[in-house]
Amino acid sequence: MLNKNKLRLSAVAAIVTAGVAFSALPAMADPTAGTFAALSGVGSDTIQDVMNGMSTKVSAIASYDATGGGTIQTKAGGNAFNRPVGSGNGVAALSDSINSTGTKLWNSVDITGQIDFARSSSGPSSSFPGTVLTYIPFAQDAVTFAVNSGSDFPRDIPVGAAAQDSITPAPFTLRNIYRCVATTYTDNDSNSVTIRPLLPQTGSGTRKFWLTTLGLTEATKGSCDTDLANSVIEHDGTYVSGAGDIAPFSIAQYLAQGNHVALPTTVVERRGQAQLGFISGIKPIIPTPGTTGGTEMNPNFPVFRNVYNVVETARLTSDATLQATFSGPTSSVCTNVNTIKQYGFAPIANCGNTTIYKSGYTA
Amino acid sequence: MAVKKTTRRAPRGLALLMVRVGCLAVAGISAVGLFVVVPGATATGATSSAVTVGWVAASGTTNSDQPVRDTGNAEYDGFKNLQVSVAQTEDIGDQAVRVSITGFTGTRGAIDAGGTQYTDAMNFMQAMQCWGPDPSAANFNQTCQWGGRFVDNNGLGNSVYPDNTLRVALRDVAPETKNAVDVPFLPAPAAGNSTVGITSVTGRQAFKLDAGNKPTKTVTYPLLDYTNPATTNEVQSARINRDGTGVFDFETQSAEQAPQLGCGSAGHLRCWLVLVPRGTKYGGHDDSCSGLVDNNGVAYTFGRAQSIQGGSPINPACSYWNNRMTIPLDFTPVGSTCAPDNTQRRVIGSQLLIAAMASWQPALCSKLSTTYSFAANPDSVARLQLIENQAGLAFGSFPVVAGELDNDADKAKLKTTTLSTAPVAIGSTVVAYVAEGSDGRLNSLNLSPRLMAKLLTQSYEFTVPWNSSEPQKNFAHLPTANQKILYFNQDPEFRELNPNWAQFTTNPALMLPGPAGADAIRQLWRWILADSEAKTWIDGTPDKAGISVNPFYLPAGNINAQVPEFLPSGDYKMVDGKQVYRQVGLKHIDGTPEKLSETLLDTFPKADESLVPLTLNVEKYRFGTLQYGPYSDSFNNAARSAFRADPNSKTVWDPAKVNAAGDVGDWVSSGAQSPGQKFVIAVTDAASASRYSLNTAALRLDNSTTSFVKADTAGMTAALSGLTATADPAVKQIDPAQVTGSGYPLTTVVYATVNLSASDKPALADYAAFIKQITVSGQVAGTAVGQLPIGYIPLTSAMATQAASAAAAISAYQPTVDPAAQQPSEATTSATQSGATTGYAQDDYSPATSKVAGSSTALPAVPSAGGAGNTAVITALTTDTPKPTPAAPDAFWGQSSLALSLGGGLSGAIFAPLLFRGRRFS
Repeated sequence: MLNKNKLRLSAVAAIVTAGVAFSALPAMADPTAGTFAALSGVGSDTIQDVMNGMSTKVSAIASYDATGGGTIQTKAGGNAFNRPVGSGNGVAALSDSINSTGTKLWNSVDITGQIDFARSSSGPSSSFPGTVLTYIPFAQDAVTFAVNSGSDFPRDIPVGAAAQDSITPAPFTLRNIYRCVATTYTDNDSNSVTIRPLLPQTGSGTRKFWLTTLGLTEATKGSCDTDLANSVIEHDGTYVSGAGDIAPFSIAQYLAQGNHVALPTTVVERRGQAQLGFISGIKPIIPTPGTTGGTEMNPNFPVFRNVYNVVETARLTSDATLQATFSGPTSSVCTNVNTIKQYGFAPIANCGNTTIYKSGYTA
Repeated sequence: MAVKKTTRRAPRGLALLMVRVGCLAVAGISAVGLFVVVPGATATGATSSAVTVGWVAASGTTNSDQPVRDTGNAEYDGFKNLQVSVAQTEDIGDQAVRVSITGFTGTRGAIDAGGTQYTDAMNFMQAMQCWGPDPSAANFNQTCQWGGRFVDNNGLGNSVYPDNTLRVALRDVAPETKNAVDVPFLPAPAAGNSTVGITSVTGRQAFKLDAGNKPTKTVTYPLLDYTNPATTNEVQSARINRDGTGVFDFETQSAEQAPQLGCGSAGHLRCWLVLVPRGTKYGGHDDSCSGLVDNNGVAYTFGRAQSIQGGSPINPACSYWNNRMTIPLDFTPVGSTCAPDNTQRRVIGSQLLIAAMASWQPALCSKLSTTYSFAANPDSVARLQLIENQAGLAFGSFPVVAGELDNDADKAKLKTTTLSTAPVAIGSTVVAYVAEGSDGRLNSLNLSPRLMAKLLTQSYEFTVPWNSSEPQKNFAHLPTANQKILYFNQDPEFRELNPNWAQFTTNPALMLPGPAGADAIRQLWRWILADSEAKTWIDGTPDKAGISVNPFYLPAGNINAQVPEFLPSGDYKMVDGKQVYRQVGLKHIDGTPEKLSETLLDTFPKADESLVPLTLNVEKYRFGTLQYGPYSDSFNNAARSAFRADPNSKTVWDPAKVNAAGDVGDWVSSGAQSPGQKFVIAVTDAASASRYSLNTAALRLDNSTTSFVKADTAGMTAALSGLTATADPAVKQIDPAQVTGSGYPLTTVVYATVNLSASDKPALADYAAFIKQITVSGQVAGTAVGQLPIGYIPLTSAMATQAASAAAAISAYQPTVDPAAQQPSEATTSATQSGATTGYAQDDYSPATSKVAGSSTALPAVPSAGGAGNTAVITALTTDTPKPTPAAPDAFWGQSSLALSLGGGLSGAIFAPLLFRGRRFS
């Protein structure tokens, strides 16, 4: 558990650092070394902050950051191992922890029993059919595009559809931008600006989600799309540096980074010059009803996704702590609505559902 | 019965007392792999056995085979006008049949409660093949092939809701679920047996059992032993256009392709095509159908409107199965009707003959009591094998003359060899394609020689290896103008020829047969190089738009044959502020520059050496052209891959995948192309394209501006005016450059050449009879056994006369060869083994076999290039034979590698392209 002085200190450090540079901060949100909780979780960086925040409310949860250097140890006497980076790696590490064959290793380390849940910003992939893992939705994220705030890049763009592929000239849609058939826009000085569509690094949940949203695949995306040698990090606005740059951005992350000062755990502000766009006239962020000055995610934003905690299906019936923490609308996670909102996410009606989203082991 | 059709025969009973023999599947001769082809498969155009069925029976009729439609059915109004036509329902084999739909509603997409968008969420058609004898039986659904796509990379993307891939609900597929509804798969019984005692295969997953029969944590999906994404023919969603019509092609599978369905096996000729329309209403009562919830987390209720179509079509816990439409499919009997005691004769060569031989062979067996085992291999290899006495009859499209042989030993041997040649078929190479947009298929494509050259020389961005890492650097070696062409249809030349494609902004995956060569491929290169604008373009001259050839395809030493060099970090290599270039280009095997325009290849080279990604980040190694655009190993497989729209390129890094070396992380396939976003172009032959219902491009005649011709009967017939003499007076071949008017330039005549010097009297008689039959009754166009299948045109009367006189000459030839010494006439080992005494070949063959085999150890002492051209030099490289010491290196490589290809199957495929690299035909 985090100690309050440390928290305040780290918050100050975050402000100072954010003003100076955008270099990665050391992970401050991990549980203090040597302290352990009943349920340890790893994986997605999209939802690491909200789950870190959740750990301040739900004592059974220990959430470890996706990045931040060094290995982690999640159980007393357990092996130290490399941090799983991102949703896919988190679920793979959970599979290794369950270790159904008795021979699975995570980066050559035996982590059997070390991980109890994985954070995932995407639902189960059809690539890993099966039911041994259950994805439990707990909140909703929405994704929109971000452009450089200093640019004249249009701020309101529709998603577009495959049915429009046969229209001339190509409509200015996100799909057509990422298919590289809408390749320029005209700025306020009537100059043509070449668009550079950015994608987060391969394997990231946001990249998969964005391509799916646009009706594209890795095979059909345009040849002008780039991840800059696989270096574009999710939710990092500093990559949106040019007038023609566009990138997908999690609205929840955008809000949480903006709220970072007020949050109980460290959230790194790395929005840079990124500014969020509207999709088909719908704003990503609205004023919080009944408050002055507060903002939250527009729950009606058209491009949204559930975010999940992934657990071993068998333990939902055998492990009371796990069940009380994640399963059903009255679970500890689902009842902490304020924490969910504070970190920019929207609560969902089927929070805690354990019957719909299943997957096989991914490692 | 609301079934309209012109004719219908009763399903055929068990024909004759014949035993299944793999006549075509003679053990590994081939350099292109073996083709096990089912006879009688035909095309996808409407045939006399076309059937149309209404979802509701036409007034005053009853719909036999169809469930009763209840007007209270929630979907009744949506489906009542639905009609389905199936283009062919008889003489079915491994092929595609076209299904046309009218009276439906346009497919719609939707977003589920989890935020995932599905493009085919409502109003689409599902299709599957079922084998059960009674379509109204309660367990008929258990006899359907469904559930094979519940695995990695299933090619569906986010088209349909994922639980459509299952036989049961997602809840119930889990092995730990109690009281689960199972929909097992009942495999078809072996021919003639009843279903009693057949063990069904669960539609659920199961825990693997350990040695003590206790369940482990490892989960298996037993159905995968029967069907999987690479083999299944189930269709999860066929899209419907906005006007309510739709067309798709269904891959029918005989017992050869899918023994678990047994269609076409003895006593089981009838199977069923089952179509399940999916509308907009939810058809489940609880989560034993599907676990779908709305945005408020409330479970879908039965009959809910505007619902994503979740749930398996065959699961009785859902109501979808009641809406099925069932169409009988009558299969051609599979296997061969060749008697096991037939004499066997091995024939080899041209891939263009695969479809024809599949049709001819059963008739040859029954009429001539001889089994002509056909293994396709590169025509050029077949010519060498013929000269080297490794086969008695070879098919090819260019003559067996010295100019076609590589080494001096073979040329010398040719001088002492007597050959006889007869034309046997007229086929064609085609450029086939499937282009499917959200509004359906595009059905006309015009290609010029230069456009084809651009595709084949990897001169477009989409033909060179790239990924999103640093795409601009991946394309940096292409000429600047080429880099502006992001989509095939952005090439001004393409637009000019195909104005109706202006908006088809999907790039094609190219499926080229290889690496083994074929004369039919050479015809394609002849067509390209005889066109002056294509030829100068290949030599490096840009077209009007400035597009020029990929530098890797220029001759080495050309001023433009250079590409930027990169550092391991992925940055451009610079020296003194200047970018460093690497010299590339084509070279002959001796290192001299090779000009593509002056080298008539019979292969498709893949010369671009770019590796991707330039910067290794999480990826551990790079991929190149062969992984980005792998070869299809034959014309037939190129067509099948095109039909399945699966380029099999592995370009997505999967950090969790364990590679062959046991390390974590590997490149994986991005799967088949998604429905509604397909574009593949394949080089194949007309018969394969027809079998798999591919569109074929109209090709522009050389040096014309206006004449575009397709490979149909008229085009192929008109092309015969382009027949031109070759070095062998017996062989005339169509010169694409000489084809005019409405002739299809890639029309190709296939010849059979018999090595008279190396054949004994009985073999010659068999070859003569073979040629006589295939050039007379085998030239009658039709779909019945023994006839000439779609994709060929009959021989001209002059050719038929030539064939007849060749056959007469062959049978009249007085062999000088010692019958004991001639190797390839396989005077039936099976006859010997079975003790049968049919055929005259046996008497002198049996003792001779052992004699020759025994003498083979003396092989090293016999100079292989020696004067005695037709002695037993080649006879038997038995497995225990010591390696011969070659008299001449050429001869050794020629003979031993070919012998390997005879004995070792695939090794020929590896040797062939190496052996013949750099050969010239001028």
